[in-house]
Amino acid sequence: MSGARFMFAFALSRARSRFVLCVVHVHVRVSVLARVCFDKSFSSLYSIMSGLFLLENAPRGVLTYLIGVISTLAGLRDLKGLYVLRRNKKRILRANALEDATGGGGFDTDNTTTAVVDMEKKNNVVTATAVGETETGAVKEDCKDEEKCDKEKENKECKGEEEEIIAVDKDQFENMTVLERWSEPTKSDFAIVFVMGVLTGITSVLTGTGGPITFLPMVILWKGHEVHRKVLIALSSVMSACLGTGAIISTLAAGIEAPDGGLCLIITSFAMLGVVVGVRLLEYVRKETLQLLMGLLLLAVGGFVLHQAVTKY
Amino acid sequence: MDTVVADMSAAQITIVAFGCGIGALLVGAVGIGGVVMTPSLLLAGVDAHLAIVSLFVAFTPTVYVRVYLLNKYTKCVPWMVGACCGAGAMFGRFVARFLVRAL
Repeated sequence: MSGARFMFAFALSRARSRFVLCVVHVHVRVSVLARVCFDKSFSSLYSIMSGLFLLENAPRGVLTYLIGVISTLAGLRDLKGLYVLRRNKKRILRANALEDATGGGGFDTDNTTTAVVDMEKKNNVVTATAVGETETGAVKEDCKDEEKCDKEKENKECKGEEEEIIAVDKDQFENMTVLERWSEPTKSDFAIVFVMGVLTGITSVLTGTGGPITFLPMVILWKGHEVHRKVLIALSSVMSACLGTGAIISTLAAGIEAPDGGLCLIITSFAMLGVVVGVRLLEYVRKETLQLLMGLLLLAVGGFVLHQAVTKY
Repeated sequence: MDTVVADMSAAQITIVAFGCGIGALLVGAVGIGGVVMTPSLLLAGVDAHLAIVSLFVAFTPTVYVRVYLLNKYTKCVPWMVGACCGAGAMFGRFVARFLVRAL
């Protein structure tokens, strides 16, 4: 990290003025070209590219602040989304309970199913699913219990209930919607993801941080409400694999400093263990829990990075 | 083998092992965990340059394993988007290195 800082300071001290002139020159030229040739959308892309050039000239502190702010925003958004979801769920449950009390009569449908379906409709999800933890859990258990079900099979109402209460784990990949899987990305998705990757790569080199700390908050702010968290985490792992490969190749090729064998051995063995346990945990964690964990972690990381930025720069 | 681990005390090695294990667990479960690993290495008294280089080299194979496990157990890896994003990240890294060296 300090090697990169040294290089950065050295580069800035020697060529800051030349680089600024160069950037201004390129800026003027390209903006004239953009005005003449391209439409509005390309101009915005150009603005991003200009920003990338200027990033080099910006102090590391600015980037650190940016990472901290984006992480904090993503964490706050996550927690707010979760709060709204739970509040809606409670409201629907209360409304259903009130309906029952005022003489709704009959065999009420599963409250949580209704809540989940309502919430999923909100998120453009089509499938109707049932979740285990319900107030009418006794109904489910009755239907799961074979003896009682056999008795009630004669009853048509119970048959209908049984059809409705087929528990589906909506966090399994097979039960995710196309939107949640992100299996059919559009061209604009590819373009935006590529630009995000480029930004992550640049920030990683300039600040010495890993990829996901920059990438995940950005992608959560963009697609957090549509795409499933497990998919976003898997996406960040592919990105960090590519970034890590690039880092190894460039660092070893430059020959700045060789890694320590013993340290690598300890890190690899314990990290491998941690990753295996982490991935198995991820397999069983529900979407809401994952969102809560990610929100809290992003807030913590954002706070930590902002604290570092405030104390250092 | 000449290594800094030989000069480390048991407590320092424990800090490194614990930090890397917890950090990797967070990386595996939530996606962010590098922020735990690097400070734990620094806390154990490892030089910053050496810590970062060693972490990059040692953790990248772990990331490959992570991608494999994620694909095996959750089947959630969006390969097309991931390839696009990875290509962008490598390109960005190349551009940044080039800019730093050129200056």
